[in-house]
Amino acid sequence: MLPDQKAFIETARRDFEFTRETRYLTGIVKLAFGDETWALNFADGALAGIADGRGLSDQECKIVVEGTPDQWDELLKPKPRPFYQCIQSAAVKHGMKLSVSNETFAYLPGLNRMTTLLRDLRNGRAGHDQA
Amino acid sequence: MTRHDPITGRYVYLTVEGIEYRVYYEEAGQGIPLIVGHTAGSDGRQYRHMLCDGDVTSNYRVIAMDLPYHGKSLPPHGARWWEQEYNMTKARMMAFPNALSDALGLERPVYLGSSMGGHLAVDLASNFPERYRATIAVEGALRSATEYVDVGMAGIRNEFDNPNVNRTSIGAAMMLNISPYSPEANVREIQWEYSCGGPGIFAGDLYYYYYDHNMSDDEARAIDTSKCMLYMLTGEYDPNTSPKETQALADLVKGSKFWAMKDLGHFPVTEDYTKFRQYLLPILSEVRAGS
Repeated sequence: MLPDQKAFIETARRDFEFTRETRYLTGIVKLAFGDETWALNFADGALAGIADGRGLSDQECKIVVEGTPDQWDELLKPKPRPFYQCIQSAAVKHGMKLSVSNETFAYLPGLNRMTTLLRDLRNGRAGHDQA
Repeated sequence: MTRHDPITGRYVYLTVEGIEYRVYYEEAGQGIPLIVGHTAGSDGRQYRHMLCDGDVTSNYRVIAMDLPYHGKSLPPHGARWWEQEYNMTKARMMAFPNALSDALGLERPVYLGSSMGGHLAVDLASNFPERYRATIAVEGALRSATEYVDVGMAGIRNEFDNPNVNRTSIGAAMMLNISPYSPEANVREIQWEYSCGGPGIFAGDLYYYYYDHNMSDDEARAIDTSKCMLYMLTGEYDPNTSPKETQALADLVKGSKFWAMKDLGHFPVTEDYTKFRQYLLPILSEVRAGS
């Protein structure tokens, strides 16, 4: 169901857009996929690593994205159905959870890029074209 | 060989609510005047593909205006605009295309608008049927989707007019409105245009889009399509005014016509004009046949 964590780290670290759009970010971005939780640790814009985020409270994180396995499955389809086109629309229309914070708004470009990278990895695509 | 688009741009002075504005507009084509209105927080560049479409401009004079505070239309030079919050109202939204039409001497133009322009197409059909031969609401409805309306202006300003957040994020947020079938170059262009907006303008436009446009069922039922025909086009990936919201409007307006657009989102004119024109051209042919 989930993309390989190691592959995501390697892809994210070498992706120009992701590294640009997470510049200056320090702190944790929590991604909860049902029972599994990734804690993406950023230090001054660099993705330092991903830890097991189970037990991590939302207050300890800069940004939180949560969904059931089914919701992530819909979000990460190559051509998702309405309104799973991005995390924000999936949160408003389908009940995924996205934190409301200055960092969440500021790093939306990074979250969008992260979604694309996860989608590409999940679907075995190396390219970045949405078309 | 030098290439040019067949678009020309000019500035016109319009007085609305006692304030004179220097307003930029672009146009192409000859024939029935067709005023096109942009979405909240963006500008007339959204219509560059339509302005270059010979199948449209051979019969229509297409005019794309940048509303004041948007694109190349600056805030009004003679007003102390920086001393008050910018909020777009229904009265002002309706006044600008009317003033443009008067200034250019247009005879019963067609109005086509997208998003807040789509809502405006509905308001114009209701309030000024004598001025317009038809209006085309792209992503229009009685009102915007409840989930977004419920956020409130404070929540809207927290996200879209927040000093902690730069305007790249406004462009990024537009992803929620865009179909995954739209070519990425077009998606990036929409995001670029949104990232170029003036401070607080997108949030202020949403005052009209979410609150000041709120049509009652009775008002919708009173729209007279024999005077001003109302067409509606809505993309299936638009969460703000989904086909369900537009259908509710279409069900109330006798004689109106509505098509849900497959694989398109909230910005169909820019997202994928080649798909959008398949819905648009038959409407323009029908308007022309009835003119």
